[in-house]
Amino acid sequence: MMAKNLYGLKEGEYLKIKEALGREPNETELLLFSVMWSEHCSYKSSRKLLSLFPTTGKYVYRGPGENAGIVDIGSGLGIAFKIESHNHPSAVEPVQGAATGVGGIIRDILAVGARPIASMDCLFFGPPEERRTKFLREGVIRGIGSYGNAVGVPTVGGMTYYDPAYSGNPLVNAMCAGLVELDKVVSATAAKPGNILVLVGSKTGRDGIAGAAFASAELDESVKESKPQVQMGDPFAEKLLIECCLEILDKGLIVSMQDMGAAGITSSSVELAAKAKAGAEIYLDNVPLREEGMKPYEIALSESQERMLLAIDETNFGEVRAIANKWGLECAIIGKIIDEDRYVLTHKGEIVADLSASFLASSPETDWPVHKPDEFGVSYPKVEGAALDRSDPSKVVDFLASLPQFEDKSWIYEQYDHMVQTRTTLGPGNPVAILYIKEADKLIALAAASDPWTCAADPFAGGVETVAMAIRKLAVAGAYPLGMTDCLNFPSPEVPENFWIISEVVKGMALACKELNCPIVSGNVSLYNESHEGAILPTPVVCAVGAFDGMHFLKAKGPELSDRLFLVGKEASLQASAYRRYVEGKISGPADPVNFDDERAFIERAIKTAALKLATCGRCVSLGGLALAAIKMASGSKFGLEIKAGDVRFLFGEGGPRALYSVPEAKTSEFLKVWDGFPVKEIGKAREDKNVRFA
Amino acid sequence: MKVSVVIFPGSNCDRDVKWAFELCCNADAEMIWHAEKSLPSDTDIVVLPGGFSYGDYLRCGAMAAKSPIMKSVAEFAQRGGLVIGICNGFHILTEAKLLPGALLPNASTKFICRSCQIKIERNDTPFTQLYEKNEIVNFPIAHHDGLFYLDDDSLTKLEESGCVVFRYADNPNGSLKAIAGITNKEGNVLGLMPHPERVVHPLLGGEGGVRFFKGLSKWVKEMR
Amino acid sequence: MCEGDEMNKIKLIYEGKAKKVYETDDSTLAIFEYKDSLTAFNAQKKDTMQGKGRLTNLISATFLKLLQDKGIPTHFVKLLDDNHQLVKRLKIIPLEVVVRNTSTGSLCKRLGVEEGLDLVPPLVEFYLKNDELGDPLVTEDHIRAFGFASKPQVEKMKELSLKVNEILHKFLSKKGIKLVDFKLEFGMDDEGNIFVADEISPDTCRFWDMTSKERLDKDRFRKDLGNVLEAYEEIWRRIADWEKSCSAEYRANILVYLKEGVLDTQGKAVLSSLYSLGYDEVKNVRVGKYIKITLTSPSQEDAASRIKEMCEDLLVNDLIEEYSFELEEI
Repeated sequence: MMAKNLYGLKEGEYLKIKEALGREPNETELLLFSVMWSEHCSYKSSRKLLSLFPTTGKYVYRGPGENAGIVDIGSGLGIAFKIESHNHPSAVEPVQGAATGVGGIIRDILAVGARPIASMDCLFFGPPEERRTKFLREGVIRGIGSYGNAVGVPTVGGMTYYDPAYSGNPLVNAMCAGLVELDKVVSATAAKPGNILVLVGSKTGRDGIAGAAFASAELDESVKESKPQVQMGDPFAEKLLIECCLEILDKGLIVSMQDMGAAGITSSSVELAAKAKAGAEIYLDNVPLREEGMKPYEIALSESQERMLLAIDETNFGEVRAIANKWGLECAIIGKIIDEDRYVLTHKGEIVADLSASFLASSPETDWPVHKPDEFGVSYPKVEGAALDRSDPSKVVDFLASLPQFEDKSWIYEQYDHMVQTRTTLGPGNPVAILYIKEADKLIALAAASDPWTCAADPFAGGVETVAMAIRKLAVAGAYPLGMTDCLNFPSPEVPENFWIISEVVKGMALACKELNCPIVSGNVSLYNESHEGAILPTPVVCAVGAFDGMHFLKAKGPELSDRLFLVGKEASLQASAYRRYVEGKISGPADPVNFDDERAFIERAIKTAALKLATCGRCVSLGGLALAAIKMASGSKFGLEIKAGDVRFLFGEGGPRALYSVPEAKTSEFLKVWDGFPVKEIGKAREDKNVRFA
Repeated sequence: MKVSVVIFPGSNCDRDVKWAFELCCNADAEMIWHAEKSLPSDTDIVVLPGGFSYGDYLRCGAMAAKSPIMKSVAEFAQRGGLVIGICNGFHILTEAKLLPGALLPNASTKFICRSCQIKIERNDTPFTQLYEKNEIVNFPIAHHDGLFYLDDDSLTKLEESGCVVFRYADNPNGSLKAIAGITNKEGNVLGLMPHPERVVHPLLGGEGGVRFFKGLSKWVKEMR
Repeated sequence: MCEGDEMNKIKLIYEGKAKKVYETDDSTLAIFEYKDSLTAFNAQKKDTMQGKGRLTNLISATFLKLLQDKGIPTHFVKLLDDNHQLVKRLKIIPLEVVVRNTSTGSLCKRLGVEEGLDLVPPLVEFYLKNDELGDPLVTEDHIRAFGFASKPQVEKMKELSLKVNEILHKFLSKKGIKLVDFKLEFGMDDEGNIFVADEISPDTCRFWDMTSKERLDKDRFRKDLGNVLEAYEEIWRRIADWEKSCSAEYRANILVYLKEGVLDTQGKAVLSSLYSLGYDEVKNVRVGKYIKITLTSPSQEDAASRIKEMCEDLLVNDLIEEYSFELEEI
């Protein structure tokens, strides 16, 4: 007898389903479980770890559990934000994968009732000289640009990171922030029995059926043949959907809302029902279809893009439909919230699935075994800078600065509209993006960070460093953190060493969030990032949102001629540095021990420095160390920098709270007063030509 | 001053341009849905904002040019009313034949978003009267299809009749004669690829666009 | 009637048994007005029947349109209203052409043959249009000898008549109607082109219901079978939706490309990419758009003209682009 197809469910999960139902699930039901209980939809492997994160705080208005977290920026306004991965789809079809990633996260923001106002993209590729990387990178950039530009959400920042570990499995993490009036926030838990479920947006086709399950599978060769599973993005439809939903919301007609991404109608309606502690019946015949002859499970699980599910009062349907018609969108009643714990799908007069909604929404937790790896770090067989004369710091600096990792990324971000909506005070090409919130006459800052090399070399320290780096960036610009979103990109959790690393990274992140008072308000987990070429580096990506007390911020570029240069912070480590990676070909642990008192002291002084306008510009010392911080500070500026050279560790050490400041002569004493009690070193001055010299 | 900002499905600079008019000259800016058949009767200026009308599918601006409202925009222009098309709005004006020429994909075939040096060719227009002639201003661009094209003869005529109002200092997109913005022969319909509405606040990359809006307000006041 | 298409009846130029013909302000066009009167046996039997004019007008218009769509030149221009149609003004050839698929009526009387014989191939007969003589049968030699028409004209009329027979026969049999026989008239425009003229209706055709063998034409009147109007209505009911039932699906494959001389940035970029990949033999690249449209249309010609309109209205910007298309029935 042939083994039963469990569609990716584990044998144990299947038995559990059978026992709970008291019968064999039919094929449609089994498919629903396979998708709802997939890693992608259920976080079954990571749920326990995620509970370590602090999720509440002074500024948190909505934390995890909603479609996006919301922080309060005063004046009755909030910033809704979330980051999400679209790694697997982008690996298969980079243009559409990245585009629908952007589209999906925008709908998450929309789902809480916010107008999307900014996007950031964190991209991780293999070496850019590889043909496949070129293809992927070009496609991803085109996908992000074509979607974000057309939908009118500016791409204000992000990062591009290269390592051979991402050759077969690139990472595309898209973050979106939205502006919401706090009294209009839509909650995912607000639906009530009797509410009708209305699908608004595009027609449903066979796009990305079971993509959610696919997203949780390791990429193998056969995936290259799986193009039809990839969803196609239509930014025009998305733009209409945004305006339509905001108009419906503005009229007060929405009780609750979900975007339809992974697992489509099923996931969105089960979540609405389960979070409302109720059930739902879904009339699949009412779903406007793009293709003929779709099977019930295809309709229920289709991942056709640009659709939202609204829970509304039945009497308001006419008004909702009129607005949808105005925007030229489909609008259909496809179900109802019911007062019992059932999830019922009907199709052509028959019940095709009849399950417990709460059971469907609560996948069993998976606790994978952990095993501490014997050694940490990465060795690179191909060492770009091996032949370099290391005794000449200028040569090393020039070499590093010439690497794609450190190149000027304007060729990428100039393909993105980063100014639309006219809020972009500081756009891409800076450590933080700063947005002017006209509605409140306030500034906010967004800072993304990731440090895969440190995570690989010392997972716990890497977790801390990732979180701390985002907050330091905010602080140097003058902002204090309100909250953070995280995207945890890791390989398979089923390998005990991997799961140990995942656990350590998350523990480090959670501790840093607690210690630095920056709760996690939303997030996403992407596991199984592996291909036949190997596993990715542990890659947690975070994005913090910060606020300013006044209207002043500190820029990161453009020293003035009379400026003196100061380095604040202790000596840093070379262990997982770009120097080690590119010149010596090996990164390893352990990183320097973490000291949160130092971090807090740094953050406090950095914010004061910016607020009191004590520096012309300043930036954190991060990847590439002081040397690269200096180069970036001077890039595109009128003047260059002259730095008293120190040893390799001085120039290229990374990690910990450190920053480079260019301080006007007249402000020097005040600057030093602010930094009193923290290591400060004067290391040079601005110079007339545009070069950076290490003498 | 009453400004009618037309919203097409896919417009995305509509709110920006409304804000710029409000901020710079305290104008009464009203959003007009493309399916409307007529403009408010007290309209002083019509703006077709930037964005991706109809997704820019088929050809930029082609489908928007067929919108119901465009008939009354054409009539408004015919009567001498001021009509401004920014970016995608410029596309729409050419597709609606209210302005000559066409906008082809950028020479780089890539979308370009950055600040851009724009030379004011004429300051005797309602749109540029507060600028100096030959002044270089910083207006950002953000487009994929901004290469201004016209056949040689018509281009010569366009230049001779003084319809070129804005020219790129560094021609980022390969436009013929580096043309960034033109008017019709009568001088009341303007199309330009750069976005003056993106530079009207010191926190948003400068105030190079403020005089564009203030100048319009002055013009309208004087015409009354 | 479409706005701006007002066509004025100026002067009555002819009144016949069943219709009036008017001049219009366009000298190449005329208006037919169908009357509610009914005559037979050369107007020796007469009656008036309300609604008959409308039915004759609509049925005739439908048949003429159908023929036109299949490439038969007819004088039909368009339907104006229930009783009027606009037609080309032609010089009428003084012959009636009768095509017979089944023996009946005068043929049986004249030759004493049995009714209801299938005539394969169909018979084509010519009659001289002359009321005084009672429209006598003439041979092709008569026609030539007395100059009623030229030899090429006769051949053309015969060819067209057989084609019309084939088209109508096929069309009507799908509607459960047997085309027994029918009469055609022909006319010429100033350039000498021959068109099917006059009318095609139960007045000029014999229609039998294929199952009940019931007569659905003027024979009901000739033979006093009653329910004449109902028969006409029945024909109209069966053919009224012809446009829907006859229309086919077409696929237009439209190519839109930049005019020669217009800078093609995409083509340029592709060209340099191809060069960098070593395809040195490439001389030029132009990038265009491919648009596939499926549409229903009563005929290929109709589909082509609609596609052309779509191109000119929206799909193509004639300042920079050109187009071509292929049309296929699917």
